[in-house]
Amino acid sequence: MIETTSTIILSLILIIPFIISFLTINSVILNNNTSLIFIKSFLSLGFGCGISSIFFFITIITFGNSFIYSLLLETVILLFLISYLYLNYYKQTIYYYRNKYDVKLLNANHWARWIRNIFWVALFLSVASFIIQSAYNPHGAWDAFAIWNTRARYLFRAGEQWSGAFSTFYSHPDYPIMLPLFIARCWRYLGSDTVIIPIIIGLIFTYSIVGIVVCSVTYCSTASQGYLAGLVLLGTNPFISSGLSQYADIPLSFYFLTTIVLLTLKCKLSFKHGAIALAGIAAGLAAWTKNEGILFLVVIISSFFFLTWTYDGWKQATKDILVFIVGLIPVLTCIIYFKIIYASGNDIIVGQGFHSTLARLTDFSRYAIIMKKFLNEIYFFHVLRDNKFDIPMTIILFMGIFLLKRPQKLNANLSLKYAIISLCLMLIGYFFVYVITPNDLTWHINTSLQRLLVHLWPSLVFIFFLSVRNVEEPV
Amino acid sequence: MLVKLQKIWIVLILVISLYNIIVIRVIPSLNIFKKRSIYRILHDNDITKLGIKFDHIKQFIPKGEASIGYIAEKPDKPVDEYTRTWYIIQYNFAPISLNYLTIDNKFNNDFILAYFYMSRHHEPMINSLRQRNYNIIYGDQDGFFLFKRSKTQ
Repeated sequence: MIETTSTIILSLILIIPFIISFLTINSVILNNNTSLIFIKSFLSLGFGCGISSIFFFITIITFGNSFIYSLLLETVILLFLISYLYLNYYKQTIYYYRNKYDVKLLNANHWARWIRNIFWVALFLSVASFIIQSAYNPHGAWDAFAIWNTRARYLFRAGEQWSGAFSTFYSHPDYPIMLPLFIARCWRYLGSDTVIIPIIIGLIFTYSIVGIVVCSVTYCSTASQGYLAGLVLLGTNPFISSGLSQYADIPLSFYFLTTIVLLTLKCKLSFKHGAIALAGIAAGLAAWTKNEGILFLVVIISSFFFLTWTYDGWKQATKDILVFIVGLIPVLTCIIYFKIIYASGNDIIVGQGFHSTLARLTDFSRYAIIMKKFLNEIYFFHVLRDNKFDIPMTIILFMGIFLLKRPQKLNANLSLKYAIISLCLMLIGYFFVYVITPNDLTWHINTSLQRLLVHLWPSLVFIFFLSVRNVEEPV
Repeated sequence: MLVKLQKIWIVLILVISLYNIIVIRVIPSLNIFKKRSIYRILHDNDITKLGIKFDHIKQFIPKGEASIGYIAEKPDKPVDEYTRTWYIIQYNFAPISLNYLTIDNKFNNDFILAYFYMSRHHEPMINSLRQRNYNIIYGDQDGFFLFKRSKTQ
């Protein structure tokens, strides 16, 4: 009986934020074809975690560390959204029927059937092994128990002393707190710091990324192409292992991907500004998850603004960027508040000084070391360094380059340009973080480079599969 | 020609992704329960036992009043494993702040939590702490000890 009650509470505490996010996303993007409904559902899983962590943060800094206020806030917002959608039911229905038949059915040739069936088998095997490995290793890997889950335990156990979670006794007290806050929120609602919550969150983010890539490539191209993109992600061990490790890198990767997908889809949707505002929220949540998200925020705003300016003029660029900022502002306010009040200095920033930074910037041997490591990691992209049987999925992308569409065709797609330029700028940004790092360079690269590439990998797979010829397309 | 290459490429995606999932994820999952790691007590099946143990140790520490340090003799184990072990201990002790101590630190904490990997390390460290007015108030066979500083010199 107690177990049944716990399961019901567990389901409810996870479902409430997802419903809130789904209703919010649905109220700004009204198109409803099959792929888009799935995209919205997967989006709402990650958005739900991020948004409810913001609610939890606002309530604990305002009313103290009690879950009642957070629950109350979530309920009020849920009721508001339900009433709003009920009042706009007629409008929704029109859009539903208008778009109902815009479904890309899988081409029924045998290639397409094989691809689809193999994808489902791969997904089943991947999820099953994820669950078994999580059961064996319930606390995740190093950073999970050293940083993310320890901080969540503080927030859960320390009562009014919760800000001790950002004590300098612990590693990286400046790290943003989306993940610890959401874990602590779920533990508070459940009344116990069970290991199942971080495991479920890892599972949700990992497979939502796969879902978004499959559905958005299907929406923009064909279902076979979507399933192939999903298979590439499922076969990428560093990606699945990061989710299994309960690291914040996978939620960060989710928010990078969703920002890029929303900006890519905006041209195809009737509610362009809704997609841009949601992209603003996603980019903000990326910065709320990890410090690398702040770099992403700068990169995406710059590339989005300058490319829109180049192609559509400054008036359109200003209008679009303002909509983006409207979505971003609430999350950004929380990030600034957290950084000013609670977070101490970042190790990389604190370690800078005019002379020391200049010395590192002009030391060209550092550039050579970093470049060598980057090329090595990009080529042999695999997590299990001692496992010689792992085949890096980057091979697939290198081999698929000959299938890229003609440059004229790609040039016509402005959305893809945002994405490609943003990813390139992120790589350059990561490169220069290594150049100026005050930490031991080899140690820093060896302990982080692969995770940095995992951040960008789903977005790269999404862009790549939109840029190559479709399976069904005549060559 | 391009159609053939496209088909080969698709077959490669199907084969490599399935191969990676089965060989790297599924097969190790089937064998996973046979594995035994050195820090088994701290990390896997005995985690409940460890939680109960830590909850028991925490009872000796007054809430919000005491400062607690942690210490261990450098083990005959890789440094990574040593650090990882302490992270797991910290993780289980949250929200008590544990101040990391080395043998050169001033011993000015009310409590010291010690963990010894190897039984032969016990005696010298226990003696060293006793000389600094720390007495054992908890100790067990897994190598966990809690010391409390006596108020009088």
